[in-house]
Amino acid sequence: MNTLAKLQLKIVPAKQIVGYASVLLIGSVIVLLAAQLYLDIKPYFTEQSSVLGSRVLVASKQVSVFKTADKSGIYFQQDEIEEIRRQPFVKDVATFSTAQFEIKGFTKQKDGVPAFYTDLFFEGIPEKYLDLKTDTWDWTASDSLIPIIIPSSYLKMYNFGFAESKNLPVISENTISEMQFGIKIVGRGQERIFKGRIVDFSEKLNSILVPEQFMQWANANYGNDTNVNPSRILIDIARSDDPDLAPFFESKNIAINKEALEQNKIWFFFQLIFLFLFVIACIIIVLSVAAMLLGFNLMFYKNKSVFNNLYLIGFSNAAMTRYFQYIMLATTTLTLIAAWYITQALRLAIREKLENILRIEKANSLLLFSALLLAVLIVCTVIAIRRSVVVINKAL
Amino acid sequence: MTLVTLHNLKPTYIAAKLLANSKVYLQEQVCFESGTTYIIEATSGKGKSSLLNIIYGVHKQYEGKLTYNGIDATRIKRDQISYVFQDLKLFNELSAWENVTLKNGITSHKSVQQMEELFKSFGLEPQMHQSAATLSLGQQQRVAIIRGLCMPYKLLLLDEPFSHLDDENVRIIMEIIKKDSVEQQASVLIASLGNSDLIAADHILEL
Repeated sequence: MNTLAKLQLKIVPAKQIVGYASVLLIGSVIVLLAAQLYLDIKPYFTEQSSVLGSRVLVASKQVSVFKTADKSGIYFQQDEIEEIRRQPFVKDVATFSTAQFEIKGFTKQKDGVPAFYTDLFFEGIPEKYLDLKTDTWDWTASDSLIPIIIPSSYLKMYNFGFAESKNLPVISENTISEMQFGIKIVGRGQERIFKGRIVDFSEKLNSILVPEQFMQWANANYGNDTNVNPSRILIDIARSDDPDLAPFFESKNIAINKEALEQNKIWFFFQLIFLFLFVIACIIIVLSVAAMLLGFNLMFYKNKSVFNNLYLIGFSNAAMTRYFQYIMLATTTLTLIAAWYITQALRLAIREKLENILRIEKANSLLLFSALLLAVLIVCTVIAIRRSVVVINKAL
Repeated sequence: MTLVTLHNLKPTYIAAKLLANSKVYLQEQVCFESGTTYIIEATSGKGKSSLLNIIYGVHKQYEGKLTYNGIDATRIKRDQISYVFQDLKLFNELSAWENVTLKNGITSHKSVQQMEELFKSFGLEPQMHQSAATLSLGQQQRVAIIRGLCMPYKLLLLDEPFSHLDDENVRIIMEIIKKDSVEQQASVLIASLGNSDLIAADHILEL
């Protein structure tokens, strides 16, 4: 150890450094944990819930006993759609395009999969409302394959109801996504055979969705030219916590999937909690750094003559502060590494509990964020320590 | 060759009438030549330390002008000036040896052997590893002088360096300083209270 370091070691504020490391550790663990859990839970509320975005509501008219015979009451009129669009909590409204032609689905006996032949219905919605995990959704008239999204409840109903009662094999989402089946569309005295493949599953949309481009093409070529008003619409909401939202739809006798609204509210509260924790932890970190720098300042003033004398015998301010800067660099780095490992351990423990009630995927870890936090802390402390000594020696 | 020149220099806080007889302050031009040893002699409170601090550049409260090698003193670096301060500025937390190696660590001017020889010549070999705080004032003065010699310099400033030393030590140390300054072709300015017979100087200036 060189003589300068030996001299400085005798005056270094060891207790303050231990205090700084402890408080920084607490602050960093909370910051990292809040950010990490936010990233872990976010996909559950924003992606996994549906192929639909989390802020999209599916709205339909309430089906009452009077509407069962006369169906005209279940359709949305254009002025009704415009009125919904004008609401402050609505960002946009889109309609389902329904098939105006006959659709048959079929398969042949193969690999233990039973043959079937059934009537189907297709609907299309604008692609911007879909949060797709597939890249095969684009469709052109030359394509012979139609990508399809079905409700995941259909598969559950087959696996746990139909297959169980008929002693048939169960099918996973992956298996069914690999299978292709025939689609026949019939209309205007003509028909055409396509291949169909299920590319994704929807949790909250009870419809069989195909690309809107296909629906437009098929309706134009095979449709019966009847212009039918939509029975279901998609509403992109701006604010799910707007108190006027639910009463408005109730007053209009419109049914909406309230589950999505509730989920949005839960996510909104989650976000508030994460933000609160993040801000509090940031304040803790800032206070720990401020207290440490105050400790260094006090040390510099308490040993002012030592630093003045070092300056007068030829030491630069940089040389005088280097040792303290190394101490802060090492303390901050080791503390953040410890915080990182503690965060990961806590994250695992919390995930284990959460996975009992939520299906969460493992998000990316926050290495980059941690490195950035470390860099900011080091730069701030290193500059502040240097500045303290400069101020002391400037007064000479 | 002129190393330092003073032009009508005076500390702002000393009244001009108190400096009427000074051969240094408020003179149109005072030159300190390279390779020459000067004694600045005055009684206490006349501004000896102020003069050395002004020349070293840590004292800004002065009127007049000071040039170093023809350059305005405010624009020069202190890396060619070695200064033995009146209050010595030793570090009590360190030993005598460490106080010297602390300075030599920046300059790497002397080898370990040369520093050991200096301690021996200054009669400090037994106290080499003793804490500076426990040394007598005379011993501390000698440590400060050794430290002052541990850098290459063109100007050596010594502020009452022998005030606590006996005549024999003054003679020995002065010989070493003289030899070192000649080797470095440097000027030496020694501030003294008076009675400077033992200091082998080329010029004595009354402050």
